[in-house]
Amino acid sequence: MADKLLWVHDKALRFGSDFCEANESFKAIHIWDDEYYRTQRYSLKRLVFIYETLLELPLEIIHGNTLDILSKENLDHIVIPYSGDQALKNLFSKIEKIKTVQYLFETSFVHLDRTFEFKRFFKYWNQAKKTAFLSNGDRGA
Amino acid sequence: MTILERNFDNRNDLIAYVKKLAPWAEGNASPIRGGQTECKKRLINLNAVKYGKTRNYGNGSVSMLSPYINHGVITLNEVRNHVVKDANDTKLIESFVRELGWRDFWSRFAENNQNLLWNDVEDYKTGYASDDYQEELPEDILAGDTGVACIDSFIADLLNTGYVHNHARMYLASYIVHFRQIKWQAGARWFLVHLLDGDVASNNFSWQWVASTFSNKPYIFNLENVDKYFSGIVDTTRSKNRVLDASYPTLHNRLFPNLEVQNG
Repeated sequence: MADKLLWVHDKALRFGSDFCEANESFKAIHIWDDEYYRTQRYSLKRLVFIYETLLELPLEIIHGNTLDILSKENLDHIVIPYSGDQALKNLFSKIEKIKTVQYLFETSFVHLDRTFEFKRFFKYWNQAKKTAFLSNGDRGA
Repeated sequence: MTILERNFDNRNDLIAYVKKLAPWAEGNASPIRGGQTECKKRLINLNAVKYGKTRNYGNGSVSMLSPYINHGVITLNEVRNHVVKDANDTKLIESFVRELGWRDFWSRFAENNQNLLWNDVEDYKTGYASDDYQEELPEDILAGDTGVACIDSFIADLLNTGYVHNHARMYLASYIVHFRQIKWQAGARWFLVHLLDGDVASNNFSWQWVASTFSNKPYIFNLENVDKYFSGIVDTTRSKNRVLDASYPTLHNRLFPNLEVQNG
């Protein structure tokens, strides 16, 4: 029986290898949130693309307000694929106030030797290219 | 709270269903399909070596994976892993991996600078101040009826498919900001409505790169360049693209009269 809820939002439409750990015992949902999509001003092209992708995923598509639905869920533990998107981050912080949240982070594209403080791509790339051609952006031995 | 439908007889039924769910949404569905299956097809067909040689051309070997990356159907890491596993020489795939790097760069920059997503990172380097640019897109651009044939074709791609070739995006952004003197934010908002891969960080900072508010100089182009890369794909007839039909120094002096005159 599921003991966690995986909220598959529109920036993480997959059941990838990075979700495996959470895959063990959770119920997955996508919330078709009119207010969210309207605020994002997505055209019909984008909405159909999203819906079409959802149909290939083993989850329930629930129509309603994200916070309302998550707050009414019996499961207290919400698993969320992390996204840096500002609109989603605003939602994340509201969800944290009502549920226990566990974020799933994508494997980093590259490992950088120092804190990201680049204002020009070529400076970033000089660091990034050291691991950009390695599987999983690994530093290697 | 309602559980939504998962079974449709065909794509038209699905489109009609989504249209009913979101009657406010602009336009029609794209011929580009969503889903893991479509994404995998594109990944299998990806030729990163050929991409490096042809990516600037309208008919170049581009991956068209960006809508799937943007909506998290596949991650940057997974795409890179797929490409490097068969590569004998990383130099041959550098161009493709570097493009993935741009997306990572914008995303990391955005995480640290959320306040700059919709604000100028730096001043314009065009001889104009931000206030000199118009706030909104005019009707002819929104409708793809500017009278500049190649630009109208690129706008048609945006409105009909939600996908525009990367080089054409730069042309469009440059046309809007520099030829029409409109704030990059107006164009960026418009792109985000329509582009299937519309990610705020990549989109907005790319617009700022073209505008020169996040680069060292404004990006401009001329008809000769469009003809070189998109000949036979869009109409590059001189009489139908007059505003673009000039040398770079001539365009520079016309578009940026407050900057030092360029000769040539």
